[in-house]
Amino acid sequence: MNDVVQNIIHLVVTFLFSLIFLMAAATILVYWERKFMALMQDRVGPLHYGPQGTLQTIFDVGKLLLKEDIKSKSTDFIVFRLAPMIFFAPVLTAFVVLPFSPYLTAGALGTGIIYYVALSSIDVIGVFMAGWGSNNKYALIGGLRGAAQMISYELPLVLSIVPVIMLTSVLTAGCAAGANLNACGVGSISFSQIIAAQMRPDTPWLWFFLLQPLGLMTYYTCGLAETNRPPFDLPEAESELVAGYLTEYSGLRWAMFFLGEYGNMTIVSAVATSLFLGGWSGPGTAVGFWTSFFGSFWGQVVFNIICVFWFLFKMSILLSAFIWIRTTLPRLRADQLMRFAWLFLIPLTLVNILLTGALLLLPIGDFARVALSGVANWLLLFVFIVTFRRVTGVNPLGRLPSWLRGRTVGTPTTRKRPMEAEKQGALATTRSR
Amino acid sequence: MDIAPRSGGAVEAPSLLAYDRDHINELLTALARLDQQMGQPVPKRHLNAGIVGIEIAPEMVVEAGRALRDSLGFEMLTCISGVDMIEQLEAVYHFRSISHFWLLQMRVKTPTSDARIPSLVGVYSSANWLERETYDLYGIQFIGHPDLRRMLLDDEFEGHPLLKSFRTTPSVVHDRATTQVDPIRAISGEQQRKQERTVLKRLGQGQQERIHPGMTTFGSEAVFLETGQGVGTDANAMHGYTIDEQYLDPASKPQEE
Amino acid sequence: MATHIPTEAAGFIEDASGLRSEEMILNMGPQHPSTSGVLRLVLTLDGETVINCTPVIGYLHRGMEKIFENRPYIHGARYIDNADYLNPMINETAYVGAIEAIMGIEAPRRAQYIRLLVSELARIASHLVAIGTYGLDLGAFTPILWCFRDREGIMDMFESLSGHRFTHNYMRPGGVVHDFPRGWIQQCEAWLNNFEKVSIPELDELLTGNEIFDARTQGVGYIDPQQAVAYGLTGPNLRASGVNFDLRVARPYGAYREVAVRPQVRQEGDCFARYQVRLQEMSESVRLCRVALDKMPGGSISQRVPVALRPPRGEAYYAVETGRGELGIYMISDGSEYPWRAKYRSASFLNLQILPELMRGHKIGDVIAILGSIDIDLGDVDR
Repeated sequence: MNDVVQNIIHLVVTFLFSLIFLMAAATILVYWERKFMALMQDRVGPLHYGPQGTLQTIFDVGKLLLKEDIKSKSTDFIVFRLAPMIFFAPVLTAFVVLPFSPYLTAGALGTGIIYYVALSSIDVIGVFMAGWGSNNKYALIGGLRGAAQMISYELPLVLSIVPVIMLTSVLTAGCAAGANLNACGVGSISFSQIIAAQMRPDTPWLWFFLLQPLGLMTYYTCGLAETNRPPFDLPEAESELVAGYLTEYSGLRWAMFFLGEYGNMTIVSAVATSLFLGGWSGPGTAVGFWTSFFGSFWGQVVFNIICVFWFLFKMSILLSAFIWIRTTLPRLRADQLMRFAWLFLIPLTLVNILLTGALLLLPIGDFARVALSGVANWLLLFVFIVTFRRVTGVNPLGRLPSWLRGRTVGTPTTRKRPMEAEKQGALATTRSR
Repeated sequence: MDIAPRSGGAVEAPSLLAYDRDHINELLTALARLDQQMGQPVPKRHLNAGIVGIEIAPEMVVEAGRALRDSLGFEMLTCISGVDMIEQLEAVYHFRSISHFWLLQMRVKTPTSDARIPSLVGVYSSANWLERETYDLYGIQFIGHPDLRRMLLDDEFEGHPLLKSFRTTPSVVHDRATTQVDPIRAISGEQQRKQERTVLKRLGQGQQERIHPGMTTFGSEAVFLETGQGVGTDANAMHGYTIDEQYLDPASKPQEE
Repeated sequence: MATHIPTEAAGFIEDASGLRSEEMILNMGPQHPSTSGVLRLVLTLDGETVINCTPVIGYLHRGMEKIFENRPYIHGARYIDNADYLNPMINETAYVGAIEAIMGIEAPRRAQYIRLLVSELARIASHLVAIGTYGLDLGAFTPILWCFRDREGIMDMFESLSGHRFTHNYMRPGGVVHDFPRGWIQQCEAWLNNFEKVSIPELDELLTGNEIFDARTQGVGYIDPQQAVAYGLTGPNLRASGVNFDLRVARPYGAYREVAVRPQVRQEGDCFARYQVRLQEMSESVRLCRVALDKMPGGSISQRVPVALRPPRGEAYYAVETGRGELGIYMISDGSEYPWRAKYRSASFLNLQILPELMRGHKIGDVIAILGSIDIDLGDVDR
C-alpha cells in the first residue's frame, strides 16, 4: 500500500514537473535568447516590462493568446487546423522520458531513446501539413523544404547515437557495483542507465563526450536541423520565404508552432546532456553524503535538487550554444543542406559506428579498448572540422572529388570561369571588346 | 527653343580635369572618325564640365551608336534623358568610354507630334530600361524596342507626366468613394444633417449600419428621420442629439440634390 | 510599373523520362522582407530553380524629376536627399555640382574638402547598410546590428554638422551651409580610429572567413565584365567584375582632383567579390577621410551666390560616384528660377536591369543573395 501511494506521488510530481517545465522553459528560453543575442549584438534587448524586461515574454504570450485567429478562406481547413496540434503533441509527450534527476524519471521507459526518436520524427508531418494546408506558395515551398530536411537529418541523428549505446555495452561488461545495470554485456537504450554508465563509481567522470566528441558534434548539428534552427532554418527562412510554412498562421496556432520549436530545442539539448554530458552527474551528486548529513528524506530532496541543477545547467549551456550559432552563422542553401546530410553526415556517422565497433571488439583490456576508441574519435573529429570546408565547398558542387561529383543529382548552376584578366590588367580586357 | 547662351559668345567652361584641354582635344580627334563613318560631318559642341556634345538625326541613331561602340570605344550607354523643348522632343544620350574616360553627349531631336526614335537596344543592352523609362515619361516611341511598356508608372496611367503640357492637377475630379461629410459643410450642424439625410436616401433603408461604424448618431438618427419614430428616445438622449421638427414634417423636407 | 503580367499562365516542363511537372509563378514582393523596399520580382520556378525573373518597379515612384522642374533650384537640393536615401550627402553634391557647372562657378577649396569628407563618410554609411542587410538576407542576424551601430556614429556627426540626421540639406550652390561645430573634428577622428581598428576587423572576421557565407556567395551571380559594361553597371558591382572604373579617378570632381583615390577592383565577379569590394572601399574611404582632415584648408566655406538663383541658359551633366555607382544629374537651365529639366541618372536603376540575366538557373535562396549583392535602393530606382 505504501509503495502504491509513493508511486502515485512519484508519477504526479514528475508529470507536473515536466509540464510546468515545458511551459516555463519556453518562456524563459525566449527571454534568454533575446537577452543573450542582445548581449552579442551590442544592444540592450527587452527592457521595459519587469526588471530588465523579464516579464516581456509573459506579455508576449498574453498577446498571442488574445490575438485574433486569422484564417484564409481558401485553406484546406482540416489540415490547416490539425497541423499545429500534430506538431506540438510529440513535443509534449517526448518530455516525459527526459531524466532530470534520479527521482524525476517517472516516464523512464526502458526504450527511452527509441521512444524519443520515434516521436521526434512525427514533427515533420505537422510541418508538411501546415505547408500544404495553408494554400500559399511560400508555405508550400517551406513545407516541402521542411519535409526533405527533417527526413534527411533524422538518419544521421539516430546514427550518431548508436556509438553511445555500443559504449554502454562495454562499460557495463564488468557489471560495476551499484550501477543498477541488469543486462551485463548488452548496451542500454534507457536514458537513466546511459547516465548511470557515465557515472560509475570507478570512473565517475567518464562523460561520453570525452569518448565520443564526434558523436556530440554530429548529434548537435542534426539537432539544429531537426528543430529548424539557424543555420538550417530553411523551412521558415525569413529573408526568402517570408515565414515559410508559418506564413498563414497567427495567434494561438502560431504560438503552438513557436512553443513546439522551443520545446524541441529543449528536448534536443536534454537528450544531448544525458547521452554525452553525463546527465545529472556533477560536483555534489553523491547521495550518501547528503543522507548522512540531512537524514534519509531531506537528504534525498537536496540530492535531487542538486541533480536537477546540474542537468539544467548543462542543458542551458547547450541551449545557449543554439542561440550563439543563430547570431553567428548565415543560412545554408537548400541543395547545400541536402548535400551536407547525405554526402557528409551520413557517411561520417556510419564510419564512426564501424570504427568504434571494430575497436571495441579488439581483444585487449576494457580500459585500452575504450581509450583507443576515444582517441580514434577525437581524430575523426579533427578530420570532420578540416574537411567541412572542403565539402560544403565554394562552388555549387563543392570541392568534391571528381568520382563523387559525377554522381550527385542535379545540375550545377551556371558558373563561368573567372576571367583571366589578372595578368592582363582590367582595362585591357574592356578595351578589346 | 535653344539652350545655347543668348549673348557673349562661347563661355569658357570651367575645367574639371587637370588635363582637360588635352583630354577634350583627344576626344575631338577621335570623333573625326565618326564623321567618316557617318559620311557627313556631325555637329560638335564643347559643353560645360568637359563634355563634348554631338547632334544626330533620328534615322542615324543606330548607325551612330554602333560606330561609337565599335570604332571609338564608347562601351557604355550610361543615361538617356528625355527633354521637352516645346517645339520638339529630345532624347539626350550620354556615352562613356571606360578605357579613355571620355564622356560624350548625343542629342537627338524629334517632333513633338510624332516622336519616334530607333531603339538602341541591339547595340547597348542598357538601353532597354532607359528607353522604356523615356517612353513612359515622355511618350517617345522607340522603334524596334522589344518590350516598350510603361516602366515607372501604372499601366492605366493617362499621359506622359514629364511633358510640359501635362497638368499636374487632375482635370477631372471623380467622386470620392466615401460617405464622409465634407468637413467644410460639417461646420454648421444643419448643413450636415441635410447632407446625412441625402446620403441616407441614396443608400436606402437597411444599410445604415454600414455607413459609419464610428458615428453612431448618424445611422441611428437617420432611421428615426425616415420613419418619424424614435424621437426623444434614450438613444437620442444618450448621443445628445436632437432633431429639428421640420425634418419630421414631410412637407418641409429639404429638396434632394 | 507594368502591372499586366500573366501570373497564372504557368507552362509545363518535361524532363527526359517524360515526367511532366508544372511551373510555379511566385510573386516575390512588393511586400517581402528582403526585397529592400517595394520591389516586385515575378519568378517562374521549376521546383526551387528559377527559370525566369521579371522585376517590376515603380511602387515608390514620386515623380521626383517633375518636382525638380516645379521648384526653385535650392529646393531641389533638399528634395534630392529622398532619392537615394542611403547616401543623401552625395546626392546633394551631385545636384549642386550640376548647378555650379551651369553657372561656371566653383566652391571654395575648403568647401570642396568638406564635401569630400562628408561624401566619404556617407559612402561608408551606405556600404555599412549594404553589408549589414546582405548578411541579413543570407540569414546572419548580427552584422546588420553591428553595422547600424557604427552607422549611428556617422548619423550623429551629420546631425551636428547639418542639423538633420537623415535628410541633411547641407550643400548649396557655391559651397556648404555650416562650418564644423566645435569638437566635430575630434569626434570624427575618434570615430574613424574606432571604426578602422575595431569595427572593420570585427565585420571581416564575422563574415569573410565564414564557410557558409563563402558557400552562399562564391560562384553565385557571376557577371561578365563585358556584360557588366554593356548593361551600364557602375560602382562596386562593376569593379567587382574586374573593370577598373571609378568616377573619382576617371573624371575626378571637386577635391578628388587633389586627393588620389585607390579604386578597389576584384576579378571574380560574383556576390563575394561585390561584398569584398564594399568592405575594401570602406577602408579606403577611412583613409580618404583622414587625408581630407589633414589637408583641410582654411578660408570661407561658401561663395556669394544670390538667394533667388537664376543660372544662365545652358546645360550640364555632372556625375559623381555614390555608394552604388554613377549618379548623374543632367540639368538644363532656361535662365529662370526653375530648372527646365533635371534628369536624375540613378545607379540602382541601371544595376537592377541585369538581374534577370543573373537569376536564371539559380535557386530561390540565391535570388535573395544576388539581389542583396547588387545593393539596390528602391528610392534610387523609382525616384
